[in-house]
Amino acid sequence: MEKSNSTQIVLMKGITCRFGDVVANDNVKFDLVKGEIHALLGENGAGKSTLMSILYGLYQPEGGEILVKGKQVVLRSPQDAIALGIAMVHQHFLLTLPHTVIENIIVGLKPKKAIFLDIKSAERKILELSKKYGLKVNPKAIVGNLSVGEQQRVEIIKALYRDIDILILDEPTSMLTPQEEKSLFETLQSMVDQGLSIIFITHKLQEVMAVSTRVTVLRNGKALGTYKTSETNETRLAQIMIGRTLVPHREKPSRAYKSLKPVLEIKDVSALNNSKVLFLKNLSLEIAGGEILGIAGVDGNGQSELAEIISGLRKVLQGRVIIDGREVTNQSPHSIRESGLAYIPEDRMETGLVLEYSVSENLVLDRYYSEPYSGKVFLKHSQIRKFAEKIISDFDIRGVPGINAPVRSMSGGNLQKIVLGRELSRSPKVIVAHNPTRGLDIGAAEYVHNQLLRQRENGAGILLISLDLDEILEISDRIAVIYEGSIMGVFKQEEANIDQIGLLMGGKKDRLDSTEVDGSANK
Amino acid sequence: MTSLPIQGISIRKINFRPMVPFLSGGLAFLVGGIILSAAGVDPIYAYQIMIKGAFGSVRALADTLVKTTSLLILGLAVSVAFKCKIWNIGAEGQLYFGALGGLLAGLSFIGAIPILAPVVVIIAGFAFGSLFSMVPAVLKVKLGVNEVIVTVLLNFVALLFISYLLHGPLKAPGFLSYSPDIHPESELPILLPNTRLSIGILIAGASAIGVYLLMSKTKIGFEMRSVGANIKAARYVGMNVSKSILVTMGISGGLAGIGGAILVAGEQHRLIEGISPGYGFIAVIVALLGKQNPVGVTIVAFFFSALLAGSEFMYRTLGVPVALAQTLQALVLVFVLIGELFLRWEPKRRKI
Amino acid sequence: MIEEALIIGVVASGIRMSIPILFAALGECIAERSGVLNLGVEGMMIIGAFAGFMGTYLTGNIAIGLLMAMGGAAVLASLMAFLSVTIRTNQLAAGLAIWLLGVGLAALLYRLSFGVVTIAPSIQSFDPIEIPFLSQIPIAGPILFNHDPMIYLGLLLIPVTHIFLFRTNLGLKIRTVGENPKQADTLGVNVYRIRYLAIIIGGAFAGLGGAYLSLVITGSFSENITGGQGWIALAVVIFGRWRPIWIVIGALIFGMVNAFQLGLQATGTTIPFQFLLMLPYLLPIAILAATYKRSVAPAALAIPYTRGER
Repeated sequence: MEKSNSTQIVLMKGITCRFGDVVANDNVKFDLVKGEIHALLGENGAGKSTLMSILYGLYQPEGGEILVKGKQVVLRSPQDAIALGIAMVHQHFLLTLPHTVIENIIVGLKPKKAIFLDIKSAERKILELSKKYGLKVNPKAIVGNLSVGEQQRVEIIKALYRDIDILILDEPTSMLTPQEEKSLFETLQSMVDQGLSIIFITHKLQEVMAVSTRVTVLRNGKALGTYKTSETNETRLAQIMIGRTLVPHREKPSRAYKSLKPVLEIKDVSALNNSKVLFLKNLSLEIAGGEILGIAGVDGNGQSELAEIISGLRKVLQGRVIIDGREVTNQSPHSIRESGLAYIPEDRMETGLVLEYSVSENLVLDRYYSEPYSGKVFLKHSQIRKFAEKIISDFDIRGVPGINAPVRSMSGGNLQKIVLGRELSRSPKVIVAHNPTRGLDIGAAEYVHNQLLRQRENGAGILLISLDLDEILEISDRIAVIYEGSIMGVFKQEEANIDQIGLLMGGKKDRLDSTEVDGSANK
Repeated sequence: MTSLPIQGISIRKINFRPMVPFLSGGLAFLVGGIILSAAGVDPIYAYQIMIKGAFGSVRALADTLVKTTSLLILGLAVSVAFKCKIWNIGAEGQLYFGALGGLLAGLSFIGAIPILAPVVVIIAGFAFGSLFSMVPAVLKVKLGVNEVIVTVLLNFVALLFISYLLHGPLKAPGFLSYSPDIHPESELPILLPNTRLSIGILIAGASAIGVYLLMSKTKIGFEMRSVGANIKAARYVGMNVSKSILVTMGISGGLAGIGGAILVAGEQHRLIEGISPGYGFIAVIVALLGKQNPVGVTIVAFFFSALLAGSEFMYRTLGVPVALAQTLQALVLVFVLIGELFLRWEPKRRKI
Repeated sequence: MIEEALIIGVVASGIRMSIPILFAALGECIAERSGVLNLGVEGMMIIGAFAGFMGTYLTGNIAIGLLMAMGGAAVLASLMAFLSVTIRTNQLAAGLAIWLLGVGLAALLYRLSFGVVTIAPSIQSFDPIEIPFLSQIPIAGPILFNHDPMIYLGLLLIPVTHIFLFRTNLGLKIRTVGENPKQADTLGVNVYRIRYLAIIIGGAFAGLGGAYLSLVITGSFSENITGGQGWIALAVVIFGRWRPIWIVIGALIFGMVNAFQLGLQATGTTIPFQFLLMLPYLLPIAILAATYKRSVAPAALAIPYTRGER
């Protein structure tokens, strides 16, 4: 679909980029027409971020050429990209929290007043841009105190400040409530009206349909086609993106049983976050054996803190945590685990595993101190090895580099299997799973879900904390929404309604009609 | 050595890793040689003298081994801490406290009991060194204070304290400020007649084996290593991180203390200021170069001791300052660190 | 009257003794603000002390000595930058290597140059500059306005460093690099170059601090001339919370304690002098213990940066 159009402002041809053995982009073709919103769609690892990072000068491709506004260019660094009018807003904001909005925006610029910071004119320009595009910010505010939505506005202004006409947004809605999302889309539209062209990286089909003019689908590093959004639909796109038809709804095996007594009770718990601010506020939850309770919510509303107070990694100021009838409030992680808790942490590489250890060492991290894995002083390596072999086979862990080699080189999916193997082989009564499928491809994610469902059949109570609403809707028996450290509401799966959940995620407790959405998070 | 794709510089799959120490040593000596020539000393001749002083005779070899005793055990002390990511730069001070412990034991009535005395001396050395290392350990565990600065500063405190004792309460009668001699029964038996090589070298060797067993085969060693490898994960699986840190520092300080006790009971038979020519600091380099495993530490300790012995001989014969040895040691470390550039690999399977 | 003279003497001396640490700490503050933890400060100070001494000894000109001090320390700092930024090795190990290299090299070069002498070679130091009028003010005059030029330079450096870090473009770049290097990188800041610059500036400052020891305080060089002050400077940066205004207070406290214990010795107390000498080392430990919980280090401190690292 060659569009030799004079309004084509970016053309990337034959882009190939490798990281070691992995081909992140394989002969990719991509173009951007002036004034459009072009969505780049694909799953995790499809190569979307890599392609745009190349356009932004962060990576150099091994093959292919890039034309910007008709001229062939070589982008060696973000500076080159900015000079050509291209800027990128990353999924994980690149902001310096202790600095002000102004400081975050003007760093790296070459201003007229060469040596000293020109705060005054920067402030003026920021307010101008803010007005022009409808992005409310306070230039003097400390970024660390802003909400996620406000921080994103800072990121966008940071890009606009550099007189760009091409804006790349990488998964911009991953941290927003549905209402903030809507506000963002309106902003995008107004930016396009002002002459900007936008590339929008996402893996969410509804967004593509809602906001884009055209969409390019990537899968496994290859570009599978560019389509006019008006001429396609979600199902078609999903098929191209995944390579098979989406399973619309998972059939859960009917519950083996549901215990009468809860296996996990959280009663009226309050706790501080890392900045010593009261973050969990009188939070109460209950999970019965044999059920999955999904916690939905926008990142940063207390999910990590919740997981940590249950597992003992964070102190509770008031309230109680009870596992299977036993009081475990503020006990050590060790004794809480002994009470029957398994915890699949959000960050498997930083927390869940010791990357320089072997598979067997990682598998016995939580039980090395007792029989049969050790005696009074010494470890029993043969026993440990036997156990490891069993788990590797039970959990189908692949890519094991060698019995004593570090697990560092293994894939994300297999690393997660090690964590699962360790945690789930304890026959736990309660499982806390925090973003258990983050960064995994569809096959690995399915495996994790199956494992959790199997534990559910065995009578375990599972707390599934996830940023992926689809995941929660699929496998939870009940769904709770967390917002600013409290539970806003709990629904049975059958009764769950996305709009309602979205509103609760954004903090609105009462039902509103759709005309009254103001977009910004209440502060 | 692994099936990982190697990024960085690799020329036709030659495995650079074992070559780096030799290349680094060679470069260090080259730089040293340049400095010597600039000062008017013939470097080739000087290095020959150095080798003679380290290995050229039974005396020389014994001298090398005597120094190896100290460097090995101090190197083990520091490497135990480093392996657990605890940056104990205070081994010198812990050595001195251990020496103090050994001295007190050697001066006491227990020090006069044959066979038992040396054992008690060594144990006292361990205990005193260990206790002193508890200061930075507790500060780290209870208050989160970074141990690097605290341990370094405590070295000065320890040295001053020992100095005070040797000029005061523990002063031997007479004009010079050192301690009285310990009971002869406390002295460590000499292995090689007419040298200062005592069974201290065997104690050091046994410590190396002990450290190896501890770190790779025991429960406690596993905990210590885990806290060093990934403290977040260690906490998450329920390990008692505070206890691990305290134990690690305790063992580290204790080993350094044994080193000090050996200096008292094996070499000098009394405590003097400056009994250690900075073994605790050289041990830092030894630990870093030895990659914090007992075998590596032993090898590096031996060669660095040879360097020290040789350079002392160079000084006596040629007047070349002993500081050359320290410079060379530091240069070797610098070049090895630079050599890391050639060995960097990154596994590329990044589906996070 | 004697007490007053003594107190004035101690305070003035305290200001003098805080200078080496002040220079080193201000320099280290800049380096750490860019995200690099430089444990080699002590080595850079001692190289500065040696180079400054040698330069002055050979040419008779203190200014040349100071330049050589900065230069020598900057060379060592470049090596530290090379290891930390280009090789991206563990910054603690690199710093320790640089420290021991500096100490060894200074001792080696000194001994090679002078051999073993009973009377250490010495140089003629600065004459104090009396600021007219101001130095006549009772009490404050002799304390503040009758010092050698380097003290004035050191005190001037405090606001200069503050303005540099917080009011200039380069300073903002340095601070951003130290907090979020990826952000700086994507906005066109050369993270590597900024870190090199910060480390070398820091080293030059440390060299000046060391030179002050050999050129002003003692007038000669000895192997242990820095006596751990580089390490104390590191502590001062931490409890100065990486802000020049607070760092000077830390340096002054140290200087005062040092002068105080020397003064005590001079008045002949019964406390053994070794315990007094311990004070300058115990004090930073105590202060660190008291303030550590609330320390707000630059977020990227001691983490090597690689562009494109995921």
